[in-house]
Amino acid sequence: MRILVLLQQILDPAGLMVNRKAGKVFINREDYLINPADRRALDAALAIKDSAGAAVTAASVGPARAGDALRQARALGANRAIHLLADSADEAITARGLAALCNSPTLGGFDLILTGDSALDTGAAIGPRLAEALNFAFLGNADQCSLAGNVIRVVKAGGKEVHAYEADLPAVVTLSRNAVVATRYAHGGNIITTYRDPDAVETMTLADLGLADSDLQPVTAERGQSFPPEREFGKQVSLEEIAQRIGRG
Amino acid sequence: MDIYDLQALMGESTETEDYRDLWIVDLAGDGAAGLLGEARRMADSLGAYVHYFGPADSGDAVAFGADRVHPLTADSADAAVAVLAALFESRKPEFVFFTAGEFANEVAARLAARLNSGALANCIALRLDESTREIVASHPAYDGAYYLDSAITSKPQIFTVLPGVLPMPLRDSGRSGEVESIEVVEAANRVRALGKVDYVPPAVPLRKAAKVVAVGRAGNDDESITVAKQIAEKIGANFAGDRSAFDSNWIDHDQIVGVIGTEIAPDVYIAAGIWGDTLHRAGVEGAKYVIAIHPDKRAPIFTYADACIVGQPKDVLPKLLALL
Repeated sequence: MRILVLLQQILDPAGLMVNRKAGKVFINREDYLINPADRRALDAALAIKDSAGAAVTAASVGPARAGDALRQARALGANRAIHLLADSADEAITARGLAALCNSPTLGGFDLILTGDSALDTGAAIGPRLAEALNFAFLGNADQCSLAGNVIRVVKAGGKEVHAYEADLPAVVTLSRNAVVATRYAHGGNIITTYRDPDAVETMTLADLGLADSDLQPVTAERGQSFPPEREFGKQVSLEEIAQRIGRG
Repeated sequence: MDIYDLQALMGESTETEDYRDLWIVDLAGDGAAGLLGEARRMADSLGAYVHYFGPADSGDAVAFGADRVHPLTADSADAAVAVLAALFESRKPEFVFFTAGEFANEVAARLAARLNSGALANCIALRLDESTREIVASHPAYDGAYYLDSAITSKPQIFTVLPGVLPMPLRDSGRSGEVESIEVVEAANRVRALGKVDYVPPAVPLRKAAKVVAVGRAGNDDESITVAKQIAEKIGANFAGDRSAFDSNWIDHDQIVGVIGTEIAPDVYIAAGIWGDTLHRAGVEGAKYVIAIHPDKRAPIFTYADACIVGQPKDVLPKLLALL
């Protein structure tokens, strides 16, 4: 049983200040953390490792700082961490690189790929793209996932009802940010070890995996930011409006 | 008769220019009227056609702006992606729009991957640049703290648009359009639905709750507290209160909201009968949407509430419960 967990780094929202009036996002503190949904996926993978026995590999596509996320994954219990160096990678490039990683003969392929449903900062969804690239079954936005033999079963609490789904491996499963998975915390000594060990994270470039520049064209381009209007306080509203507002979602 | 038929009659090639039409894929089957209106405007300025893929009985699609209606039923994402990707090969649309939802977002992302293009999810606004034939879409960053304006640099440009953000177009029952069936592509559904399961999500601590109903002393009595608890249960919110509610024995100590108790940042915060002094305000500063019910219109809670009702909570809360 081989599991691949994809991690993305995002800017810590606690260090951001959004000024709607000025139309600017101020970065007060440039801290990066693992995308919360990806963190749930890592916890879920490690839970499967503990219960059913599996080799967990963590992978990330990004600049040098992504190594921190992978060291954290190693400290939490991942068996292996692979860092694909790329200065800027949108979802298409990331999915391409990871698909190449999964197909790479030196790694031997993966049965189950776990990742977060979408990135908190850009909303980029890698899971469905990777499922298409590898032609794996896809189960999205899971709140719980469990493995029974060769079948992955997920529970989704979309809306008021809770439904279960299953698929045969190989599969890509994405976890929601609110997934019910016990959060793990790394032992301090393990974190120090991963930073002292030069081989804790293996680094590769996309070219190493045989991807040419023509494969690495971004499909999205950022053209700026826009801001919601400033909040208006003290507005009298009808009960019907309130009922509609709190009743949905 | 449309331009394709005219070209055919005049012996011209019916081969159309690559990448020109707009598709609306209505997987939820709710009619997608707002999207149809928006696509109609874009199609008129680009000289293109609007194709609607949705339930067979969607008679209003033409009236809201579609030129062609294609009945489409897809019960799984595998099937929907297979049908749309096969159609894309022959039709080559320039823009594809979905109504955002979990299912639609998955189909959009997988379709984009298969067609080697990009998809932007949960957009709230679309701006078309006619000269470059490019749409710049606003989509949420950090749960909508602000929005990123992004464009898709390859074709087709795929977007899922949040329901309710586009205005309802006028219904023009005089418009004409055609219904054209599409070929069904067999696709193995790899995901098996196991049906509903009995699963009670674990209780969320007040600090992390997405919705909070809080009560205070003003205008509340024992019966209205029961009603407030019922409202909280119905919308899946945590029940809480301020210090005065604790003094009235309506809540436990760990349910006090504010600097003296728990500081919270829910998506929706309902304060019924809470005066809302500075310390309370500091405790709920992070709330994204504050609903305040208080009998006194001078209550400071109204200065930071998005929705206000001046009235006795014991009168208002039963009416609110009846509407839910």
